[in-house]
Amino acid sequence: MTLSGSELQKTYEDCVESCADALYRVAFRLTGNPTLASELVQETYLNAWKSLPTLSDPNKMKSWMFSILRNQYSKLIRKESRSVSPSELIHEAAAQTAADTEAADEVQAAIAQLDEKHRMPLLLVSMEGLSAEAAAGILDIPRGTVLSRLHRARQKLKSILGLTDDSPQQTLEASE
Amino acid sequence: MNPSNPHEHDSLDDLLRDIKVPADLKSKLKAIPALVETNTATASVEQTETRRNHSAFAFLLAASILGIAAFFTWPLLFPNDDPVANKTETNQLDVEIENNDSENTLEDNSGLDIDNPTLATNDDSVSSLELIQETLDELEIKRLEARLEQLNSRQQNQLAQNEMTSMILALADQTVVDLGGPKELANESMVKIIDQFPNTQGAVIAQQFLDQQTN
Repeated sequence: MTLSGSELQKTYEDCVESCADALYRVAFRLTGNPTLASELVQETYLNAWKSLPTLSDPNKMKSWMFSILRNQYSKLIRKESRSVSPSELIHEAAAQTAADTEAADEVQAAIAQLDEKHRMPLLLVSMEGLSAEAAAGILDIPRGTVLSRLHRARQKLKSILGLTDDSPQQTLEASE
Repeated sequence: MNPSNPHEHDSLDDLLRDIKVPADLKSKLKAIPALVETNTATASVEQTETRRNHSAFAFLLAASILGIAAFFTWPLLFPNDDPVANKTETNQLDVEIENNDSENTLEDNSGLDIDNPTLATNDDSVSSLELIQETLDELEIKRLEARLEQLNSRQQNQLAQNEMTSMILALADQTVVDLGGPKELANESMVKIIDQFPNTQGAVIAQQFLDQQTN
């Protein structure tokens, strides 16, 4: 499919309207920092605009955007890891966010304690409501793996936040 | 959460979604295509300017190299070590100037009478032509005079150089003898100086040295 200039512009603007909030939420939960999250989303849309003519199916726009966001986040982590480790980055960001709201800090600090592989399924499926199949496509892992990681992530997060009586260790052991 | 239903909603999801999205985010994102276009155009202009600067720099570099090369090769292309040749060239120029004067006189007469009869009948045109011709002649003479002066100057320089060289050589030989060196070699050297640089201070010194040796 080849889109003209005005069609590309319209598709892009529709994409901003429909996906920007969700992308920002995920970016914020990944980085824990509003500035970093904004930059990450802008980088994502910049790459999306450049690659938009290559998008074969506009119906998969949201998944496509999350894939770009994930790649951009990986780049950010690699870049930052040269001077500081990813976990340090997230903890620093969480500490910074603590100044904003206490509740947000609590959730963000809990998310920062999750493994990288558990964090993305939780954000994509639980927070943004994507299907397990879509998340599997974005993360390039099987659907079953998405579901199992999601389950573990939720159990651990609930445990940290005091929303359940199950300890994360017990939950992980039970699921394995 | 029920694994068979990943979208089961609970308080955890509410907490996760409790994020305030910046109000200006969407407007910033919508401006990205325009910024990309602007940056692309700016980059193109900068690239063109850079290429132009590189060309100008290359031209200046080439001109500088040529200038330096000309500076060093000029003496090789126009050697000035033969005063006799220079003198000959000067004489040739003198002859050229004389010939030129003769030709100009002939051209004035023949051009008006034969080559251009129409102009010959018009007094104003004739006088204008004559004026132009005279001006050209003056310019040519001035050019030749300048050239002659340049050659004379070069010749003077060469003579001064010869003077200095001969004097240095003669004094050096004299010093060698003063320090106990072989007089025979010094005598031969002095003879050469007299032959090679006649009418110079060095030749005078050499002659005096030879005279002292003879006495």
